[in-house]
Amino acid sequence: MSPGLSGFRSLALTLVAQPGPLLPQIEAELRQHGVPLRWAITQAVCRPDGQRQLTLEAMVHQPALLV
Amino acid sequence: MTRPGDPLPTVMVVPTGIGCEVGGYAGDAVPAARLLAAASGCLITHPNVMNGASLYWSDPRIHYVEGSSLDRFAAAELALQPVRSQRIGLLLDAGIEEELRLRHLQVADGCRASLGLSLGPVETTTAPIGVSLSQGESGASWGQLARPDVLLEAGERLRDAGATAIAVIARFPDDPDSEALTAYRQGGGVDALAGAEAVISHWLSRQLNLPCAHAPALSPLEIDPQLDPRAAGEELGYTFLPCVLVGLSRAPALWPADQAPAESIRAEQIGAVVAPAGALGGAAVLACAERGIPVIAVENPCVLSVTAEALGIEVLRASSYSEAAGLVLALREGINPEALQRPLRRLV
Repeated sequence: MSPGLSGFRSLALTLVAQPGPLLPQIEAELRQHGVPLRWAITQAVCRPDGQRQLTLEAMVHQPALLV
Repeated sequence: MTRPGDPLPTVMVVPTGIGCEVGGYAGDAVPAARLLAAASGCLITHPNVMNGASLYWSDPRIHYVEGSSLDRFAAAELALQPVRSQRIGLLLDAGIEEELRLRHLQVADGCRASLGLSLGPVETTTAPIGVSLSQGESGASWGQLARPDVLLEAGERLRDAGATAIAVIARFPDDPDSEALTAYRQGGGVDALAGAEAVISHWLSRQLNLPCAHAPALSPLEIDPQLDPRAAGEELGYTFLPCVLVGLSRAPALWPADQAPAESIRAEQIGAVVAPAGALGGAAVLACAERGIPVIAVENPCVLSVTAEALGIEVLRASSYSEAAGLVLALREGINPEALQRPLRRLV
């Protein structure tokens, strides 16, 4: 997905979820890229090792890039 | 104290831009929302569910909350204070041509004259917002803004001038010959505009803590004899604005949860969340599921397949919104939904 010069950045990420609540794990992952503006899990699969692999699509805000 | 039959605050989510069979078009989830509002006595839902361009429905049991604010409500960060009315500021994109701008202003005047809404002031961005559309790998619609800064500045001017809610009208790119638009109008594919609309309203609402919703400004389309009834609400007029103004006119005020007035609706009161069975991977649903709030997963096909099994969450399954309403009513009356299913397993 495309980076923008507007301060908004589109992302597609993969996250292997650890046991426990998903929401804090997702928010922590997204915060590494900016302030989450909109996101969704767009794919979730159970791997052979039993862990869940999540695909996220997101839009984050990176204040430093705002024109 | 809560008694059987008291309203059961229920969150209804139909994610935007993923082509849901119910709710993926022009307000075509409104009948389902009305039913869930009747079953629950208190429904909290978002503009994608309620907006049908020139078509709308107002019900004091339905609370119209922009998507990111709904996420924050579900996460117990915000509380919702019902109000008699909001004063809606109009935020117009400088990229809108004069005639189209006038159409929108006349719709606003019509809503003042015929519906008694409180509208104004009006602000225009200092430069075009520059909306562009895109699609994710999943098929979900997304979008970008070239100038979110001018959008936010205009929103701040409205807030400072006394607006308590904001209706944004941004110029969206016309693409009348695209296959995606043809498919959408004929009842297939995703709403290509929806993702960018969500970005606009999420951005403003998060920054300003005011109810916000968005109507795209577009040139009129040629008539399509194959038009799907679910998309017809968008073909009735020159703008998509009436539903936004009606929805915002009674949208609850947003408060930080720890500062909210006593009469506010709080996340702790949520009794159920209703969402498409293949689109359970959003913030509001996960926040509710992770706090043990019943999740009702409704059969409502879309481009995603993020199911309860895939996420490892427990849900109550419903084959339709009619069945979901029955489950909400059961929860409201204190009837264990398991008792309505067969076979009924022994306790031990």
